[in-house]
Parts: sequence; C-alpha cells; structure tokens
Amino acid sequence: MTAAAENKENMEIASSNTNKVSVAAAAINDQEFSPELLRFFYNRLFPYQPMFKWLSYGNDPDNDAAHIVRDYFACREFSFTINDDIYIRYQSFRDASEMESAIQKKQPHKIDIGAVFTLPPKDHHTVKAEVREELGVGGKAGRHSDHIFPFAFLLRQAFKPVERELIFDIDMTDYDDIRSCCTGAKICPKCWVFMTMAVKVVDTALREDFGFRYILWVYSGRRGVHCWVCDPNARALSNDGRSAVVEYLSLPRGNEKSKGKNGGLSWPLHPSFTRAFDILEPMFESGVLGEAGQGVLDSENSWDTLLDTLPDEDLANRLRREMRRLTNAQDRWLEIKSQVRAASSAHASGNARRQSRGGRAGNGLFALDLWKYEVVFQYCYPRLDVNVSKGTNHLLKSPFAVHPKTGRVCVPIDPEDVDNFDPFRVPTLKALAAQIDAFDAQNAQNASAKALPDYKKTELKSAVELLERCVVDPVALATKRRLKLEREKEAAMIGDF
Amino acid sequence: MQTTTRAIHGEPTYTRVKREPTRLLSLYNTAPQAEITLEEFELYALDRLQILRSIESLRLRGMKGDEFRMKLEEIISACMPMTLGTAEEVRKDQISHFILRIAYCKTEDLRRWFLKHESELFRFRLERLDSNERAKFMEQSGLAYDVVSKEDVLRLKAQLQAVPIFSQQPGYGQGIHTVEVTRTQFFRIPFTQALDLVAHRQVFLEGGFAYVPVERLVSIIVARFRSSLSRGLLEAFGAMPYVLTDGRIAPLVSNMAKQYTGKDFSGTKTGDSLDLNDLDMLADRSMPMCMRVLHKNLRLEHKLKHWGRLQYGLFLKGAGIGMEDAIQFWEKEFTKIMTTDVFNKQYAYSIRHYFGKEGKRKDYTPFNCSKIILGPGPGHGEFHGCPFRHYDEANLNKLLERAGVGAMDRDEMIKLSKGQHYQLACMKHFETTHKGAESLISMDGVGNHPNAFFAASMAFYKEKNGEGGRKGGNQNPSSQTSASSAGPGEDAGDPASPHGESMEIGTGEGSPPA
Repeated sequence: MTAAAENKENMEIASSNTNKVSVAAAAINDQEFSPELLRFFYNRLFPYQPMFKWLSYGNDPDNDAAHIVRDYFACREFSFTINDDIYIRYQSFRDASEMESAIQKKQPHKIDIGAVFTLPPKDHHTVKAEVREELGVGGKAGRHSDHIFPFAFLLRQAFKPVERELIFDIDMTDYDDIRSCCTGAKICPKCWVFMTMAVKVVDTALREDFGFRYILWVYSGRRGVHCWVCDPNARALSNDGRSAVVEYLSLPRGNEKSKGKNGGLSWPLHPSFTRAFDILEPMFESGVLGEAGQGVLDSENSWDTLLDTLPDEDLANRLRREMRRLTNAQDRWLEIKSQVRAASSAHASGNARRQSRGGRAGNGLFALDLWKYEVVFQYCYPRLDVNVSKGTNHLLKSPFAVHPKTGRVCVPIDPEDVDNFDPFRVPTLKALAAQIDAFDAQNAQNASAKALPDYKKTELKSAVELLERCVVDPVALATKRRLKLEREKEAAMIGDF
Repeated sequence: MQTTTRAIHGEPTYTRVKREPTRLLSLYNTAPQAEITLEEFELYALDRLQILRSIESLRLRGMKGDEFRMKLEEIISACMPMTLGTAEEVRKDQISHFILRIAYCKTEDLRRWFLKHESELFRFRLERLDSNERAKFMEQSGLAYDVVSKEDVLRLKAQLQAVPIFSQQPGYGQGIHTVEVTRTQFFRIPFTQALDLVAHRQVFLEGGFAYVPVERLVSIIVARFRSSLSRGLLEAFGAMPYVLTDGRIAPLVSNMAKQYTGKDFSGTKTGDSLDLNDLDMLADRSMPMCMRVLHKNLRLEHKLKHWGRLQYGLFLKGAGIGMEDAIQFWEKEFTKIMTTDVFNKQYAYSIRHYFGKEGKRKDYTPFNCSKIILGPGPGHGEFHGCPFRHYDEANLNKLLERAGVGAMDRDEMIKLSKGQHYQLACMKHFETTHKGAESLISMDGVGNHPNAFFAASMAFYKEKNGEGGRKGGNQNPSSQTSASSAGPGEDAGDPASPHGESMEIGTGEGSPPA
C-alpha cells in the first residue's frame, strides 16, 4: 500500500470513530454520492449477513460439524477500490463481522469479488514470489492457463484460485454500433431493452441447456448487468469450461467480410438459436423497430440499409417499393418477412436456390432462410464480454456495491420479472436515507418496527430478499441435504444408524 | 532393433486365439506391477517409440484416411501387435506406455509430442473396436454414459436433427453429414466432458447434459484420454527424481527421447562415394538448411566449432564421404588458418574417432532431426543446430532468401517454424526446391533426418537428369538399410572426448566397428 493510501486510511479510522453517522448528516449534501452517504450506507444498510451467507455456501466457520469447509469464506478474495484509483487486492475475512469492520474502516468506493483460493488471499505473501509468478497470479493472470505446467509438485502448495461463480458481464457500450438513442455510458429506457433481451436469452440458456439453478442477476449500477451462476458445478468449472460456456452463449464470429451477410450463422440453426429467436423477435418488433425503438424501418435510409443485406437483389428492390406504401415499421417488417419466406420456398422448389448469392457455398443455399435470424440477432442477441467469463480469477463488482457516478446500489434483478426492471428506479443512497427517515417517522410508536435492521425499512428489503430467494436459500437447502447425505453415508459405513 | 522385434512378432500366429474384448484398450490409469529384464525394458520402449514416430512421419507426409490406417496397422503389427488383448500383448502395451511416459515427461516439448502421438494411437485403436467392444471398454474405464432412450430421441427429434454432425477427424474427410437421428445412438454426457462440442455448438444440450451421437463419441473419449494422460505426465515428472536414482534404468530413460528409430545412415560402405569437389555444388543444391549453413560457414571461416564439426562431419560421413576423404576435406579447409601440424594434433583424431578408428572404436551415426532440434543450440560463432528452430525470424528470412527461396514460400516456412513445426518447414524447403519430387522418388524420412533429405535430393536429380546430375552418389536410402548394423541405441555420444568410455550410455552393447 502506498504511503498516501496508508495516511488516508488512518484519517478514516479517526473520523469513523468520532461519529455514529446519522441519516440527517448524510443527507445534508444534495448529491447522489458523497463520502458521507457512503459511510452511512456501509454503517447502516449494506447487507453483510446475507452476503456472507451467500458467499460461504453453508460453510459457516463457527459450525464444527463434519464436512464443513470452515475456511471457505476466508479463502475468498475481495478487492477494494478506495478513493477512486487505489486498488487493494487480496482482502479476505473470516466471517461477516470481519468483512463488516473492514468495509466500514476502508470505505471502498467499489467492492469486487474474486475467486476462492487455496489459502486465505491475505496470506498470499507467505507463498514464494517466484511460485506466484510462475502461476501467473499477481498481474499476469492466464499465463499458465495451459494445464501443462512444469512444476506440478509446487501446484499443490501454491496460491491459486480453486473455484468461483461462473460470471457474465453485459455492458451497454458493446451495443454502441446499433444504438441510435445514446452512446457510451449513457442509457435510456429505449436502449435498456437490449439488457432485458440479454437477460432473458442468457438466463433461459443457462437454465434449460446447462441445467443451472442458482443464478443471480445484478444491475451493475450504471449501464449494464452482471450474472452470477452459483451452482456447485458452475463454481468448479475449469477455465476451458468457462470459455466453452461463454462461446456457446455468444454468436459465432463471422469474419469481417461476411459481417452483416451471414453473421457467422449456418444452417441448420442450433436449437439454442431458434429458441433465442423466438424470445427476441417480439421484442425486436416492439423495442427496436420504429420510432419507439431504434428507428429501424422508420425511414428510407434505414430500410435501404437493412434491405442491402438481403441476399436476393431483385427481392430487395421489390421490397423497397413496398416500404413506401406501408405506414409503420411493424407492418414493413411483416411484409419483408412474408416475402422472404415466399421467395425462399420458391427457390427451394426450383433450382434457382442454387443461384442465390450468399456467403459460403454450403450456406448460400440457406442464405434467405437465415436472413431474418441474422437481422434480429444483429440487434438483439446478447453481447457478452467474454474475457470476464473466461478466467476463474476475474474480479467482478459485488452486488450491493454502490456506483460512485450514479449513487445507485447494484441490486439484484429478478429474471422472471426483468421486463419491469427499471434502472432509473433503482434506489440511490440519498433515496434510501430518506426512506429510513420516513419509516422511522411513520413507526415512531412501534418499538419492534424501529428495531428492524435498517435495510428492511427501505426498498433494499426486496432486493435482499431477491438475493436470498435466488441463491442463499436454495444453496443453504442443498448444503443441508448434502451434509445429511454425508452423515448417512458415514453412519452406514460404521454400521451406526 | 527392428529386426529383433520382427523376428519375435514377425509371423502372426494369433489367428487361433480368441479376441479378449475387455483388454483391447486401456486408459493407462494404473501402472503395471511386474518384473521385467532390462533388455525387455529397452526393447518394449523402443518398439512403442517406433510406432509413435511412424505416426508422426505418416502425418508429416500428409497421409490420411484409410491409407494412414493401413500403414499404421502394418507398423503396429510389426512392432507390437495389439489386436487380441492377450496377456502378452497387454503386458507389453502397458509396460511400454509407462516407460515412455517417464521418458517423455521432462520438458514441455517432449510432453506435448508424446501426448499428441499417444492420443492419435489411442484414437486409432478406439476406432478399430466394434460397437460391442467399445461399449465394454467404456464400461470398464468408468466412461459408462447413459444411452438416450428411443422415446427421448423421438421427443427431441427436431432439436437433435438441427445439430449437424460435422466431422473434422483426420481421415474422415470434412463435410456435413445429416444424421437420421432415429437410427443413431445418442449418449447423455455431462457437458463438462464435451467442452469442445459445446463451445462450437456441435451438440444439443439439455439440463446440463450433452446429447452426443455415437459418431462423436470417439472424440469425447479421446479428449478424456488426453486430459488424463496430460495429468499423468505431470505426475511422472514429479516422480522423476526417484526414477533417476536407479542407475540401471536412469540412462535408458534419459536417452529414450533422443533415440532415433528410422534409418540411421550409418552404413556408408556401399556404393559410390561422393567427390569432394562436388560439395560446394551439392551444398547449394541438395543439402538441408542446417548443413548448408555449416558448409558455407566452413568455407568462409575455415573453421567450425565442436558441435558444428560433429554435426556436419557425421552428415558427410552418412552422405558417403569416407574417412580418408573426410580428413583431407577438413585439413584443406582448416590449414588455411593453421598449420598441418596443429590440425593433425587437434582435429584429425576426432575425425578418426567418429569413424570408429580411435578410442572406444564406436562407429558414430549421423544426427537425426530430433537430436539436432532438441540438442544444444548454437552459441556465438557457432553454426550447428536447426535454422528453423534456432534462428530468429529476420535471420531465417535472410538465410532462406539467400538460398533462393521465394517470398511466399519463405513466409510459409517461417510461419511453420513459429508454430514449432521445424520439420515441416524443412520438408517445405525440400518441396519448393525439388518441384515434382513426390512423383519421382520416395521422400521417406525427409524432414526427419538431414541425410534422408540429402539422399532424396540426390535421387531426385538422378531421376531427373537420367544418370545423375554430375557424378551423383548412390544415395538410394533403401540400399543402406541392409547395411545398417548399428542399433538405434547408437547415440552419438561425444567423440571429441577421446577417452570417453564413460559416455557410452544409452545401450548396453556397442556396435562392432565394421
């Protein structure tokens, strides 16, 4: 840690000792985010206990029953960003209360969660530096992702990540080439629909195709969403396994030349693509086409661009004339689809199909059939940041952290109800402070209500409940079942029922 | 060595024996516990090595499909039959595998080589099993995957049909085969065991299971084999210090990887010898890059350092330069910068030594490619080694340009070298400088042995120009095998240390000087 950081830390200890932060003091400032608001948040609202319950997966360090990995939580890496630009990696805590005091002491602007390591990350210095270097931890991650590693015997005692949730990061900036409403960090309800689509497609695939059940979706605080898959087999995935899953969930990369033509799709379409299309097309019609969406098929310009990608030029010209006749984008899309379908079956019956121009020889035949998928996918298919998902050791912003630019809390999103999730209604620190005040005022006479944990007095209540419903409770149940099973197995072995 | 094994296994008498389906193939999860003689130890290992190297060279020659399988079958039945699963076969298969596992665990290069060719051998043997035998093998190896029921296949018909079976296996040809799903057997496999297929969306997934058609199963099993062998090699590496404490097998194991099992070009006594006056012309025309570089620098500097003298000297010996000529050749060059006296004292001895006339009287064999590639690289002022392996891109490019290789071919060869395909790059060099060679001559061993390169080139010009370009030597490799007296255990050792008896490791028997 730099001297400056140390200094800062000491100052903060001093100041945090002097006052129990009051709501009033925190809300004085008119901004959405301030150090005072953050202190208030960490002192009174951050759900330490539920977070600890989640990340320990039933491995309570105070439970001395058999088959409990008591240092499981202690081996988890947390990383803090304090003062916007000072990173402190390899933080680790025995339990919820240690985590709480560390967070309250350091007042991190950002909290990231990393992997579970072979030993508590705060002790990682006890492993020889050169071993860490060889393993590629400490800034050189991934150098030895190759499983052929020359010092196998060192691996066993080395400091290395063993498991972590399978994570996905979807960021609106990756949609810039198709967003006509905003760019960069800005978002609006018009483009948020892309996030909704991504959540639906990815969530469905994770559950139906991969059989994952404990999935947590989280708003990233500004312009994207994160996904944490917490099933035991997801947490145990190798780097290769993570790559395979994220590649399966991504569109095949068409090469630059065929971009927009074939989009890398080939016939027959994989069932996961057909399903994604069924999910996405209605949203494409309502959320991308026309004025209400991104203005696609709204103007001559826009339908020209779209029809240029059609692999049948005559058909494209015919359709161009039709477009002017029709009055709205939805009707235009229906017309295009029905004509393409007609042309495609006409091609299929005649040899003309062979002449349709298209990308690769094999797909040329099906270029017309593929076209509508390509159009919809080009706009709507989830654009995952693959590098976040690929490594076991990648850090990701913690749920319930606060985004310093917006002051919004990274709350979980219910994938069942993602249509109704509105990023602009996610509580800010200021709003939360006001909610506590309002609650306390309302229940001035009710002692038991006043004694509630503060987060239960605010909108965060439902957010924490969502965390519990998505991962904490089902995982706790699974752990209980696993322990029971282990005990029975053991009892059977020693003949003691 | 080859001849020995042929004598043992040459006439297959096993037609009467019943095939033992449960022992035809193994994942080699546990090492066998058995006593064997040291002789068997080496023999078994070299026989298996011969098979793996044959796989490499068949692939290097671009052989695929049925042709590949037929050739490999031939080689396997010559070296180590593995068709019946008799106790004898299993024993040899197991023991030889584990010896080579130890011998090939030391470096990343060795491990990768072994992993690649063992996996290919495994795939070949797996594909050879019939469905019944395959099922038995899977069951006993803990690869018992659920077969998807007919009802489930019907239920999922549309989805299964939508996943093309796109075969990329070597030898299968590429293309999309649409499967008639109701007639194909599908297996339910945890998706984590079919990552390749998952990543490329070449499989239907439901509830965490991949529905893998039987046609795809082979690659899944091979992937399992590969990953467990990869782990095994690391474990073997961890056990290395222990193995090396055994003075009897340590040298065998350490030298195994450098053993050359092809033609060794040690028989130089037959046929015409080369004319020393042709060497400059031949260096340009017929020598591989490694030797060309040595020759040019010898002419330029009138001197070569130890490893260079050895590499080039043995090559010339293999190419048909006799001892007297060799001494004359080196003397003429070296005495341009030193007196004859100095030459005789310091250098003539070692030449006579590697011709087997001094010291322990061992007739040294020319270096093969793997020895040159894996051996010590050239230091400052040294020119031995393999240019494709040891030169950086700029120097290699310059070198090839000076050798008259066109820009396109240069790029390709540099790319191959970068991908660590040094021998392929060398083959490419041969092909570009000997257009149409394939149809004229046998290119056996080109890219595996500098002398094979040279011999093939000589044969090429002989064919092309009627009776040889000039006074061409008899370099038909087939005329040399019969004269080959040295076993593959003949590692070149270090002829420069005249009293180097202690260097004679790697084999129990030295070969008698001719």
